Amino acid sequence: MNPINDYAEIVGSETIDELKEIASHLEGKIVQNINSTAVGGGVAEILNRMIPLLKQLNVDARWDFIKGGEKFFEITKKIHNSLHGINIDITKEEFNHFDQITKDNLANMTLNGDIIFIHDPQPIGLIRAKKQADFKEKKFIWRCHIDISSANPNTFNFLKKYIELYDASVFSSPLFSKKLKIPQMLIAPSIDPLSDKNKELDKKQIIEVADRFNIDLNKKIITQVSRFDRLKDPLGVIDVYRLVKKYIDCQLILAGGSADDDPESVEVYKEVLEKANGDKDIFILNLPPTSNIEINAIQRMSTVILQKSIKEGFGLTVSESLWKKKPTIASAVGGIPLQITHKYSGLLSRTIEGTALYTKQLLQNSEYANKLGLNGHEHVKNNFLITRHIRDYLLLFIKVQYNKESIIYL
Amino acid sequence: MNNKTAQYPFKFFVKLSLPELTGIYALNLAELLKGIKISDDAILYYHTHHFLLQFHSTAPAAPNDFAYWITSILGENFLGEEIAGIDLFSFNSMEKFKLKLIAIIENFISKNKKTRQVEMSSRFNFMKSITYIMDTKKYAYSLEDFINILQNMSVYSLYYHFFESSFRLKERKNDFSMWIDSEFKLTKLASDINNLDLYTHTMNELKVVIINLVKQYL
Repeated sequence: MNPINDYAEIVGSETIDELKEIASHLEGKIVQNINSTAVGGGVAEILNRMIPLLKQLNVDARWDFIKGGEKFFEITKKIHNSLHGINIDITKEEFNHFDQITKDNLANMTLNGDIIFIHDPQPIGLIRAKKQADFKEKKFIWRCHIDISSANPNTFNFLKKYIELYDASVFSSPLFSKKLKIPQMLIAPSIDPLSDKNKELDKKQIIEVADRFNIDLNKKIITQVSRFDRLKDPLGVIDVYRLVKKYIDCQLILAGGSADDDPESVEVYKEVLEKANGDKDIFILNLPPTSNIEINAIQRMSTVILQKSIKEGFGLTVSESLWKKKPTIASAVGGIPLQITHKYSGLLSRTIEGTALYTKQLLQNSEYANKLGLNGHEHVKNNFLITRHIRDYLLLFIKVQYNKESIIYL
Repeated sequence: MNNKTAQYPFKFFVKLSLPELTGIYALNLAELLKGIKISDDAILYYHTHHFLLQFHSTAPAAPNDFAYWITSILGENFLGEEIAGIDLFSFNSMEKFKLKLIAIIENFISKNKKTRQVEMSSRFNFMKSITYIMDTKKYAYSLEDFINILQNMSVYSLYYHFFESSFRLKERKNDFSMWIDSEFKLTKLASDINNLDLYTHTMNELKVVIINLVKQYL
């Protein structure tokens, strides 16, 4: 992990000084983060980078996980999909199992934070602890990383009884929120510019990765980096590639993996292999979660990067791509429009045909493509780097201790 | 060359903010108007100022969220331009700005009955922010100190002393000009800084312009 001062080269020393000053106002407080997995997916990735940096700022930040089991994670995957608006029935028995696992976790976990920061729906029920007499001073925050704007009402109402017990909630985009009785703060997620996934690579490293997977660097490359998840529409990306391939000789890389809490990904991976049908210019790379350098190299060797999601939480792969100055075409869903201003810092699309048209335009007009990439890089630098994210979290942790005050003097 | 020491130092503060969702949104112009009418200063302030901090070195497309949404999402270019052109600094309170905004939109609606209805994903979300005022503990006693510190301050400090000051002081004044005038009696420099057009420069540009103006007096 890089020292916090290393970020000064990117964001300026004034930003780092400011973070240190803000963090000093949390002296003596324990911030306990809780989620459901240590690896795979955006939440674990952010926490893996953020916790050490918070510690360097002298914030006593901790990270714990709930335990579940296969059945629990199948249910939470269903909950996840149904919050995204997919029509799935979750039975009463499944909700009861969810509650039972919550109770088991409450019995086995130590909630020792002054500020307990719960990420996503899986551990949401831990708020039940708040009614304990010695927990009155503790502040509970629920961080929703997903888009619940078109959530299945049945699923949402089940969660709402927990959500409204929290002291505050956090959403990644104004579009994701619902009417709630508790404060709803807006904090976008971020990428870490110094992580293996985003740091500068030398040409040799990129060539080495390309050679390892037999990717031809002399031929144009379209890439999507995402978990093998239906909501990321990898099959649609293959359709896009086939429409483009009729006119431009190119390769397609679908690079992804699976997370501990996503049992569906194996099934989707098989469907993708089947659809690719042995095309030698399609590279389907099911990578382990530690393949950060590989992902970085793949993004950097790409000519155009796609994020053709049907639904998205925030879609941080878009910021990763823009940070590398890559022209990016992404669906106008979830948090993606916050990252891409159409025709300024990338292109927003809605259909397979539209995505294919934009891909052809960018593959054939490198000047335009480069301009989009450069603007995108600047926008990410100002708004979606981990230093901004840390600042917002520090401000949030301070805010929950001030109740309803709208101006806080530090 | 001005090497005078100030009796009272310039104390650098930063203004930080954390956006908060209000749950109010608009899908058309009439709903936007309704939302503006029930908006308090905090909401109006957010929608007229947050873009300044989002675009540090790229010129923003429109100087406030209302103008941006009306132009880019509703496609009402004339109305959007009129609202973009409102000089915020001619108002010393958000309430007066709000009345002007309402008058312009009401006038437009009275002449143009049909305006677009957008889908939920393109809605206008009314937001506000929690404000944090933080003492950086960096103090300038001379103009040279002032430049040296300002060079290394974030845009959030510039924002506090230059933008927010007008509303805090209830007149078009900024903390830099006030200090320079009162401590060094450099009325022209104070006035030149005060006359900078705040809404057509990016924050990084403004910082450079101010530093260059002050350098002329060193």
